[in-house]
Amino acid sequence: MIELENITKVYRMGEVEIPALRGITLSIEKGEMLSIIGASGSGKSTLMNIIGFLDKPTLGSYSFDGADVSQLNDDKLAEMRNRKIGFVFQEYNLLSRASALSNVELPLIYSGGRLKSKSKLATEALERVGLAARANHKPTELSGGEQQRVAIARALVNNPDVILADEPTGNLDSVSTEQIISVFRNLNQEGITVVLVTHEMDIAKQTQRIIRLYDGKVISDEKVT
Amino acid sequence: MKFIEFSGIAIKSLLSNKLRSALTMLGMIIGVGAVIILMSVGAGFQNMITSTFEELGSNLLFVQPSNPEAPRLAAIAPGYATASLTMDDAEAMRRIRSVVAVNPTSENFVKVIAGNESTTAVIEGSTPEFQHLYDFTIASGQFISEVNIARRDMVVVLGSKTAEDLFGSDDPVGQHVKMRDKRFTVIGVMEPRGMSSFGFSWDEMVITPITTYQARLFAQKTPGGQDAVQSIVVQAASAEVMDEVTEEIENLLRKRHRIAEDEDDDFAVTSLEQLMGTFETITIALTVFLGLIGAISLLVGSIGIMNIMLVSVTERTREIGLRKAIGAKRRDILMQFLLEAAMLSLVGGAIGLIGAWLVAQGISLIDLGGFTINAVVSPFIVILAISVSILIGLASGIYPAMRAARLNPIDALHYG
Repeated sequence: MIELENITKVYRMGEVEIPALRGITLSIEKGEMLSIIGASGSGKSTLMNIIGFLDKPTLGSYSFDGADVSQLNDDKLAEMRNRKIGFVFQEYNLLSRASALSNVELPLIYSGGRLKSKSKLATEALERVGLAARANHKPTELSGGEQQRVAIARALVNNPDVILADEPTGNLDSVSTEQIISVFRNLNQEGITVVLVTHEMDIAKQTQRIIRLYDGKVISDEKVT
Repeated sequence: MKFIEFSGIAIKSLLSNKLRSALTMLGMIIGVGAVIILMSVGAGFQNMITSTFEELGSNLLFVQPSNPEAPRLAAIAPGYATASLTMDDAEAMRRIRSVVAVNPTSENFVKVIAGNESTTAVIEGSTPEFQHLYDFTIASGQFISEVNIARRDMVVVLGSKTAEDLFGSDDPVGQHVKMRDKRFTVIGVMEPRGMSSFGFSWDEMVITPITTYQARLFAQKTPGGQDAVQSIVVQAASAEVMDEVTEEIENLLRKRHRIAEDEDDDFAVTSLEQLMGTFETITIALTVFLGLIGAISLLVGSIGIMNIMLVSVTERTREIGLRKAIGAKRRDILMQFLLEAAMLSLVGGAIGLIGAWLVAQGISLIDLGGFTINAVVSPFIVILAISVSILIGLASGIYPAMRAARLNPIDALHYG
């Protein structure tokens, strides 16, 4: 479903060119659950941004569901982010003044549709992460693990093909980490492709496939047995 | 649909920071309020002047002394004018074709005493025409007559208020009053008339024959030694012949005053319309000037909105990054912030409008010595204020909103 070929990303800082990715080729099938692992600066976040249509490669080709992503304009990319991808961030990035339900509804605002069905869809998404009872709580009234589950529900609400999670457990204790990983597992079993970006081997081992990045290159890509 | 939802987002975000939103709106409230109050007072003032002149009639000409050395100064400060007009001038004007009435008048303030009572009134030395020119009705007795003028009779007609002050409910006709130590017989009392829109009372007046005024009360001589009159009001047959009559009066007086071709007039003829034009020019200039001051406060208000929107965009950089990551397009972000700015401005403008309307009602109630300025907030002003508010909101919101829309989502997500 995701085909990356010779993806290169170079950041320009004035005169200096900083290469972040140096020729990455990989493909991700529908329904996979995999992790991208590497030290900080290895390029894993850049790779995730490119996969999630937030950034464009300097060189190389990216096709998603057979469509050449480089041919899409900004509005089309925004639409793809809205419908095909669900982002989960280390920092949760919830709107602190809005309830869990409103936070989950947020992506639906940008996909149109009726107001009533929005809150219904958002409630369903909260149910899938086991937080339906907390729908009217504000993020400040929730634990870190619960906040991250709200963020996952927000990523789910538009029924995306892929969930991209960037260090989703980076701020969480071990119990919450377990919960979050099991949420991802369940979602994966329902057919959603899950890509976890992490630097923790323990977490990576719980996925089916581990891609190691080092200095902007793939140094290993193996199935977990 | 999106528009309604985005309006909801804008309202929520403004409500989540109530104090800041209120303070930002204050700029618009004051700006819009000031402009509307000033405009409505200006409009009310103009209406008042127009109705005053309509009340007097548009076929009147005022002949007044001037100063050939400084005609402009004499026009605004009568003290600088040379006493140049006489009863004979007035008599000569009567013979001009198309002239219906000529009313020479001199006036002053005077203390009037009757028994133990005393009051201050305007004394008019005038002629029988005075009654018809200004539409007075006699309540009791009679008005001054040509015979009174010819004989310089020591008689007066009292305004209703002056009569009441001096004699209470008694009929003053036949009784005596004292002015400047001289005794006058009251021959008539006028019906109450109220305030002139010029701000003086028609009812606090004492009218005496012009000849008596000159001989017994306030003597004023022309440089040639004749008795002077302060002004002569001429009524023309119709508004159409005003120019013609004006020219004839000017020719007549230049001849009578022996003014050479190259010399300036020692008098000035002004029509009511000219006076009205002058007043209108002054009020329009004043309204525009006051409006400009209001516009400056509007400008300050809009700078306030822009400032707050910039702060808000910076504060919410992460939120903007997130919204973009989950599918917001540039124009979605642009619309969200533009709507916020427009709403701040519109709500501020609406509150300013309501406040200004209340103030205008208050101003209309103030009694300015018998007359009021009817400050009107017209539908035109309301529509203007609302659309200006929206425009200002959009204008001051566009730059911050564009900044928000242009943010790179990756940088924005990791901001701060």
